This record gives sequence, structure tokens and C-alpha cells, in this order.
Amino acid sequence: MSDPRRTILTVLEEVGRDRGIEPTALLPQRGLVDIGFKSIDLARVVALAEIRLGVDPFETRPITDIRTVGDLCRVFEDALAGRPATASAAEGATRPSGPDRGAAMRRRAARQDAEEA
Amino acid sequence: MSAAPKVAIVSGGSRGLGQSIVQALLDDDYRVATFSRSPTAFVEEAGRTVGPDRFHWQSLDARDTQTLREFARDIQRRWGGIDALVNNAGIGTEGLLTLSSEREIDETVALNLTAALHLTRACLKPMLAARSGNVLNISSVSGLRGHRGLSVYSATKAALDALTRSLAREVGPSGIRVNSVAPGYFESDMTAGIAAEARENLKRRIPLGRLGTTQDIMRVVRFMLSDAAAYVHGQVIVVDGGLSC
Repeated sequence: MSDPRRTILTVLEEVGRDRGIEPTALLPQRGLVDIGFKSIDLARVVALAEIRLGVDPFETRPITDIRTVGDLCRVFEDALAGRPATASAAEGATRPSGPDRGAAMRRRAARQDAEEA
Repeated sequence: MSAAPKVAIVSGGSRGLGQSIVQALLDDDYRVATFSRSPTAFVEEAGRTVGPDRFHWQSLDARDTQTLREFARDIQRRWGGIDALVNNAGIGTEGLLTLSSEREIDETVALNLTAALHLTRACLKPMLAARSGNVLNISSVSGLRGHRGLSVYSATKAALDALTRSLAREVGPSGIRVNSVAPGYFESDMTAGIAAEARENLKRRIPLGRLGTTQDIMRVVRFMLSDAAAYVHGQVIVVDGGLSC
């Protein structure tokens, strides 16, 4: 099995290339969105990482828990090692729930419609 | 060097419309993987004549989402990718909502909708990686119109069409097409139980004057999966002889 951290960074480099993201920006503490990745890029990153590493860490946890390059590496490392989510990644979870989540979904739809208007 | 054959997954491909779709894709030189709860003469014959390099059938209960994910993952590893997914499996349940059991409701939602969501999620991974793919949801004209006694079934089929539209927005930029084919009434297990008189009434209401056939639907599915439909995206293609026009 290849080094999962190296694999994730390679995938981030490959996908980031299309967005003009420099490999030097892929530091563990940097936010993936702040670096310039869009949500569809992250979906592709996760798909490529899953295929290469043979594990899907997001079967049981939301990807919205992942904020940084380090979080992404850690969640795959944990899944490969059969460990539960580590604290630092879990602490990143700020997903709204209940009525707040319904409001968040309506806001998302409204934002998209507004962008298209 | 010839290109590798395309790979398609068809849920519920052991009989009826699913069988026709599987056969059409095999005729179009796809590698086809399908599953159903139990084998039929068709899948046994295809397993013998087509062979394991181009046809794979597995006994699988689509309510078991873990097994569903593993099925997709296994095909991806075995054949190196997934080019097309046809979410065809489903059950038809009828009865007034208040007279339907909770078990019937849950089972219909699980098979017609939840399984399609999980299978699509799994198949999208290799499609996103390849930046290409084709997802086709077999919905129903019942998802577009109201039918007494089909509340649960209609809700699942309308949800598939909603999935088509939103997913098309999500993955279209990654080169993955998503569409629905919504059949009207066609000769199948689901319409076999209609009484002769009701069948005649139905035919009178269909402008083309007949029930469809699996071939009518299959030909549209084949078109939607082909490059001839390369610019059709996020749409629900109704194939109902004009019933809903």
C-alpha cells in the first residue's frame, strides 16, 4: 500500500492543476476552499483517492467535516488504519442540523437561483 | 489498437425492461454488469454465451446498500471503470396510501429510490475520476401525473426525476450526463394484471392507440446512452405514446 498522505497530495496536485493551484499551496493547515478548490473538485479528489487507496471514509461521515489539506489526509489515514475519526477532524464538523439544516438548504437553493438571475 | 469496451451497470437487468436494456448494451459491445435477487433463464444464458469478460450477474438485494456499493466497486476494479449506469430496478406497489402498510411504503422507497441513490453515488466515483459518464434513471409517467392508488410509487419516481435534475447540475461540469426516461404504460409484469376492459379503456386514452413495448422503451434508452444524445442533459424523456400530452 502506498503512503496515503503522498497519494492524497498527488491527487490534490493533479486536480488542482486545472484550477491553477500551485503544489506549494498544499500545506496541511491550509483550507481546501481557501486554496481554490471548488466542491466539484473535492468530489473528484475524493473519488480518485478512494480508487487509488481502496477505501471510502465518507460512507459514514459527511465530507463537510473536512476543512484542510491535513484533515483530508488524516481521514483517509484513519480509514485505512480502521481508526474512528480523529478529534481534530471531528472538531471541524459545524454542520447544521434540524430546522437550521432546512434553512441552510433553502439558502443554498436561493443562492444558486440568484446567481442565475 | 481498439478501444476498451465501455462498461455499463444496469440494476434489475434479469427480466422485463432491464433484460432488454442489458441485451441492447451487449449488442452495442458494452461490458454489462447487472444484479437481481434471483437468477432468470436470461442471465444464466447470457452468463454461458457472452462469458464473464463481458457479462456479470450477481444475486443481490438492493436494500442492502453496503453490498450495492461493493458491487459497483468490484465492477470498477474488474473492468477498470464505469461508463454508464442505468437505474432500472424498482417495484410497483399500488393501493391507497392509507391502506398501504408501513412495510410496503418503506420497501418501495428503499428499492425504487434509496438503492438508486447509493448505487449512483458509488458509480459516480469512477465517472468523476474519468471525467466522463452517463447516468440514466428509469422513472415513470406516474412521477409526472397523479394516479389514484400510486402515491408511494409515484413519489419515488418523481424523486428520481428530481435527482436527475439536481445531479445534472452537480456533475454536468465533470462531463457526466444525467437523464431520466419516463415510460408510460408498456407491456410488462407491472401491466400484466390489468383487466381486459381496463386495458381497452387505457388504449383509447393513448393517442398512439396501443400500450408500449419494452422495445419502445429500450430504443430510447439506447439513444440516451449513445453519443447521438451527447447534448441531452438533465431531462426527463417521456415515452408514453402521447398519454401525457
